[in-house]
Amino acid sequence: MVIQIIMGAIFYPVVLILYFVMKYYGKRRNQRLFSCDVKEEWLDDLEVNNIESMYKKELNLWFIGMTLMIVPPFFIPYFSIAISYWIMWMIAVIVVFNIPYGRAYKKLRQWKEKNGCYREIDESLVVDLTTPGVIRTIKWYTFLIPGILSFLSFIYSIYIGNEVKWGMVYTVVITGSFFFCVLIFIYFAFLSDRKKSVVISQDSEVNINYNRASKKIWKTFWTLLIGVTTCITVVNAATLTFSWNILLVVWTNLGMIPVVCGIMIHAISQNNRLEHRYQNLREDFGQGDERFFIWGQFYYNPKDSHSTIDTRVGTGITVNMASKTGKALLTVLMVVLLSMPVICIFVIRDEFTPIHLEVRGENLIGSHTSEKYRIQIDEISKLILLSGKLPKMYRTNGTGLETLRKGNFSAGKYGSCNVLLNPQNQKFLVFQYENRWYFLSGRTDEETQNVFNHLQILLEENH
Amino acid sequence: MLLKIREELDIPIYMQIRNQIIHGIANGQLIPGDQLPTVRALALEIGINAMTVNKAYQQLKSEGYIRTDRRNGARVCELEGENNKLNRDQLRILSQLIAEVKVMGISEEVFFQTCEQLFEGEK
Repeated sequence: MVIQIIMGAIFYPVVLILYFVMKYYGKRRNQRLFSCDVKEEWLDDLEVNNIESMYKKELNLWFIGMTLMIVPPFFIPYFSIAISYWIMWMIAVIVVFNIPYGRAYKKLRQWKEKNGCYREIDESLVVDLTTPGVIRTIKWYTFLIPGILSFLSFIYSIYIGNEVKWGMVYTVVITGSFFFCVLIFIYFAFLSDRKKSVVISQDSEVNINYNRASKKIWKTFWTLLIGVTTCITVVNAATLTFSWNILLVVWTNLGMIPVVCGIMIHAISQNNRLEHRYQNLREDFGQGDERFFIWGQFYYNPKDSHSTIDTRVGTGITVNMASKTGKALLTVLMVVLLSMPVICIFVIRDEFTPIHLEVRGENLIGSHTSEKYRIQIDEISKLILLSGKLPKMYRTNGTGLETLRKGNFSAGKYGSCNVLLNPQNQKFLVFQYENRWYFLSGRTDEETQNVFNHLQILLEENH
Repeated sequence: MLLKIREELDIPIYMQIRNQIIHGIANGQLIPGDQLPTVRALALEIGINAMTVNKAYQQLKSEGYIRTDRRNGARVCELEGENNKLNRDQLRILSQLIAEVKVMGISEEVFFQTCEQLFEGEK
């Protein structure tokens, strides 16, 4: 139950954050509503008001629905099924919370078309001749140190990971992911810095000051984000060397979530302040036609060669999905989304596959999903059959479930040891091999007992 | 100064850039010595090929509106009318326009009045 509560505490904030973000997106800002340009007088129209209230109602309903859906996992006794449920729930939350927005955007566009609010499509592009190439806040060396640090951490993890059991998986999944995040963030930092300058006024001075201030806000945002991600990458790499308590690492990684939220909130509030300061100077240049938006959030304009444009919803930039960058981003997103069910399948398989212990020739084989240990029997010493309670163990890296312990554990007087067992069993093989302690068990106590008996005979014969 | 590029027009983009820069110089939005963006930066900003911007700059340079050098990029030139006369190309364009206006039946008075208004507007 404790683990379910921890998972609930980790995953539930997603629904809260998304709910408030979507609520914020649904507000009228900068003469825009649901990504559509609106005039003040239109906002008094009954139909427009209905669209707004429909949006709020649908959003609230989804919020209640998704909140109720957090109850079932508390009654699921299997970790792998519970975590799979949570992952699927999180994806569902991200999708369903965008449905009301997409619907409201569609309805508002229909209303505008019905009332002839659209001018002839103005595909003109306005550029201030004083801004191109002038406003650059990020230099090529700005992120050099974090980039090198995270790269070295990743390389170091691969190097040291070979020497630690399951280290390679750990390296690829955790350190590699964070290193990849650092690279992606650096790319987006440059992308947002090199994006087309926004034209808000006929006055070039206003345009320059606005763009410079906006880019500085985003430079701070990306610098902090890249800094935090680099720290996490370094911590994860260091874990492999120093065998830190896994809980410390988990909490460090989880601690990143509130820190990132804090950085985002800071950037958004700074941006809002900037928008507020310039709202009286804003003029309409009819840029970024709203009809090129899908669901009001995804910009798809094959005629626009820019990879990013100033966002119509929220703050920051919107990637043009028709550009090469947009397509690459979409591919990465699809791979991440599709990998989720695959990860779930692997986790479930891990939990429900029984451990198998057998003596094959001169070796003791411990396998689970694949062969994990091949131990030369004549090298085994201090073999005992432990009955009853296991000593207290702390996972260094590996798996620690109610029915499976696999990997490197720290176990009191035994020190760092290799473990492959089902803690629900009552009998365990304990022995020393190559100066390390091993704790193994079979699928059942009977299997463990049989292997123990077999081992004893072989060891006596050898001696 | 703002550039407005319309891809749907029949006028090529390099010509739109050239024309608007000349308008900018004429109405004082660009003054002699003003720095223009680099070819690459402007091409990136508009989202077009650098060759297109280069073509516009080359034309402006050959017509004497801007000067370019590797160190300072492109700058607006100090312009002096050649003997206060229109050059051959300008005369050709103007005579073509007058012919079209005549065919359309627009009176001389209306034509000159419009010319005067536009001329004032560029000041």
